[in-house]
Amino acid sequence: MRARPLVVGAMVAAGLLVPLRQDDAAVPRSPVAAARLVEDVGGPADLSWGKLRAWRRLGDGWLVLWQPSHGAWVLRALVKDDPHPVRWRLQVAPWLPGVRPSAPLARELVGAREAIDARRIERLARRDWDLSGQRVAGGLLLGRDLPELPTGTLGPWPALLSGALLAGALCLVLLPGNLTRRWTVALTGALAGLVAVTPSVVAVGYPAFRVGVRPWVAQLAIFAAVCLVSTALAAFAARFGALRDRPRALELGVAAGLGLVAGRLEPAEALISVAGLTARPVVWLAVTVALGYLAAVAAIGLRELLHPVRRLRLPFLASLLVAAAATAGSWLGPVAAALVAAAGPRSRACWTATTLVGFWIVGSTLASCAWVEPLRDAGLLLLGGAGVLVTLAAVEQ
Amino acid sequence: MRILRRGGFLLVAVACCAAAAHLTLGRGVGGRELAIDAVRRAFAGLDYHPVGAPEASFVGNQELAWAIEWVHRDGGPAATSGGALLWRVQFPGGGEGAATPDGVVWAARRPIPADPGANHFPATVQRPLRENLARVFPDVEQWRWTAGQSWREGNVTWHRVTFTIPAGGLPEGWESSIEVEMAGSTVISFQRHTEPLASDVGVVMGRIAELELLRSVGLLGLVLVLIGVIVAGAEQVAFRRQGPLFAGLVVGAVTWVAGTAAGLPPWECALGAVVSGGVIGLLPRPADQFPSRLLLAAPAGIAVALALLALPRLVAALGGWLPVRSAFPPQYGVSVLAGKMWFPALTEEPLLRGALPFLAAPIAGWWGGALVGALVGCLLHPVPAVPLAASLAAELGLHLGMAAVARWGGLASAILARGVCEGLIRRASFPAGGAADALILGSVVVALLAALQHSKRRRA
Repeated sequence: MRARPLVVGAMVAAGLLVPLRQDDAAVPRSPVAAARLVEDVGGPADLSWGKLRAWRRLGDGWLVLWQPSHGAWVLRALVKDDPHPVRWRLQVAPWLPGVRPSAPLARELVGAREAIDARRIERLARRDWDLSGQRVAGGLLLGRDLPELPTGTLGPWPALLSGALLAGALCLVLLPGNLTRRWTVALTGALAGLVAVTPSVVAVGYPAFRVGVRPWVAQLAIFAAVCLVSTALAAFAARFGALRDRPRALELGVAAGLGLVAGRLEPAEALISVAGLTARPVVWLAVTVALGYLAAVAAIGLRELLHPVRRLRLPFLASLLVAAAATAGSWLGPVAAALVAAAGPRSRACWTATTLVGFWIVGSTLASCAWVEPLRDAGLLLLGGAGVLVTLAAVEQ
Repeated sequence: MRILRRGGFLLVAVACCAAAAHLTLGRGVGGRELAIDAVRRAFAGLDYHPVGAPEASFVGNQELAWAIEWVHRDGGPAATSGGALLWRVQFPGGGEGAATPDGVVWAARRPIPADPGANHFPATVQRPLRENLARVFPDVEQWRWTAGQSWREGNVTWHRVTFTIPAGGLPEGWESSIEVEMAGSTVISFQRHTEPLASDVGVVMGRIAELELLRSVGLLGLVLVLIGVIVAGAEQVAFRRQGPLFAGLVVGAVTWVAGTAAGLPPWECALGAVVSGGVIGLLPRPADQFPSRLLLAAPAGIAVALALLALPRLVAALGGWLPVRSAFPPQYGVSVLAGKMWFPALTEEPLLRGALPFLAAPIAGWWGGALVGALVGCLLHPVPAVPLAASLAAELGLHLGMAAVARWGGLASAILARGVCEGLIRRASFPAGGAADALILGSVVVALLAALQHSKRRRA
């Protein structure tokens, strides 16, 4: 009995300390610090940049974005973790007036010493030039092209989770068991918190800020999208509910350890962007409860789908977990949560999945961020979470 | 009692037909004959006499039309100036041109004659060019030569000249130019261009970009509702509950046909068909909790259209701007109008007034779901406005109207009312013509006949 808290603590510690292959170094600076670096180094000096509106983690650098309130232009900059050089690119609305420079003048504007290919683009009230990747709009220097945002497909793991989620929802209707509304209340509360702090979360909605779109409209679109998704999730939880049971400390300990390993193994880029927000704890809480609940429903569905191969369920889930660790990438946290929760009893799937997702976020943040604020918050959450688990183990009958 | 009932129905039917005719007849883009005459006169001025009956097709420049409406917001719409609306005229024996609905010739190109006449040196071409053009444009002497180039093809010398011309009827700051091509001594073609003030076009283009972004949020809402429909449909299948699958298949097929007629991409047609067919065929008759009163459909559709068509004046009176004309379609034709009328009616109404209130009813009540549906729907097709909220409010009004129809008249009434309403609103963006008018008036008659048939069946 007395050993159980120690075992749970050891599992969390193991999740934190087990050596992993680490290709990527932690991100050295916050997106705000990266933006300040651009402001110090210098970008286009001819016009007002507006406010820093959004950022996004891309490969080994930060994409940061400024836009004035009229929205007629957007300044994007890529700040690599090794900050030399900082690349920036100004995008201006096609209708913005300017001058119609000749090719030699455009070459002079970009500082080309030799003849380079020049492509002319006639606009409504100005002439643009594309000079081998360097752009001039009217008489305005636009800087160099930045790498495109990845538009890859989602892959098989979200499809697997979606199918399992549909099966889980049907299971909760066909074989309801002892349902509780507490998870629905918790989820609704967490999502309401997220909606409340959305104005300070819009900075991670990088793609919504576009040329010609005023920033307040982009922020409104992000707010509306968050409200829609939150409402849909709350309605889903209210319709299907969750199963009632007490948590078991050892199961949660395993989930916490695996969550930390998953987060450290494959830090999610979206979580690195979230780490730059001041409202990050609220976002972490909402994501933990929402993803945890959905992963639990998927786990219930997965469990029932594997019912015909009852004896092979655990080996099958374990092999899926290994495959996910190798190929799921940013989806590793939710996939692992569904698989680990499917291995346990279905009535405790919510506890297991939520714990794993929560510790995945903590592990991902600890492994990927090297600036102080998110490390402090993640550390506090780690200590708090581990403390709760150890306490639970100590008081468990 | 029966006589009274029949008299009441007749009264409603006559009122609906009269109102629909008032909103339809003469509201399309006219001036076809005027444009053909103008192009003929222009060719005659160029010493060319085209043969055969010409084909005339309508061409609309959306951004320019809205920009002109925006600039003229205080003095009423003048979207026909500036070449925003044009009739393109093609003669079967060669020669084509374009003219505005009020008969201003905009462009013309005639076949190159076997003997185009004596060649001119670039330095001396201006005088003969102006003399040739004077028979088409009496004010040619006021034009300002801006640019010119000359080249030789075989034995013929070609000249291409650009003049800046007085921007009559255009907003302040806008410029107009004309590009003329002459081979030998014969003017072969001319084409007018409007160069709007960048800030005026910027207002419209900015609003269009903003509404595109907001539309993506509306589409996200539709996707979420669709997921709800899939889950609810799977539940029906799991419990072996038989839905009206045949009706779903028919509605899905009609939706696909409507989408194809509207010129939408195949994936959008297929998705619309799956959505409407799925909602009708899989969900347990979502709007059946309310009695179906089809008599509400046509009057409600007309009333909502009337309100929306009056809204631009109200917004202008309050100091804002809302376009009088809805968006131009990519193609023009009666089948396109039919598709534009019925595709949104058959996809959005089942989803937003059928499925969403049904799914949300246990949590937020029917009206809660309908309100969310209206909020999602108002992001889907707004037109640019100043302030932006005016456009969203207009769309919200349309969707709330349809929610009220669905609540008191049933889902079928909402679909019919939406189809009628879309037809009346979009009429001004299509060319004038009896077929398009007949299509809209026919839709009103079909809605009334469906109400009559439904009421007879209910009494039986």
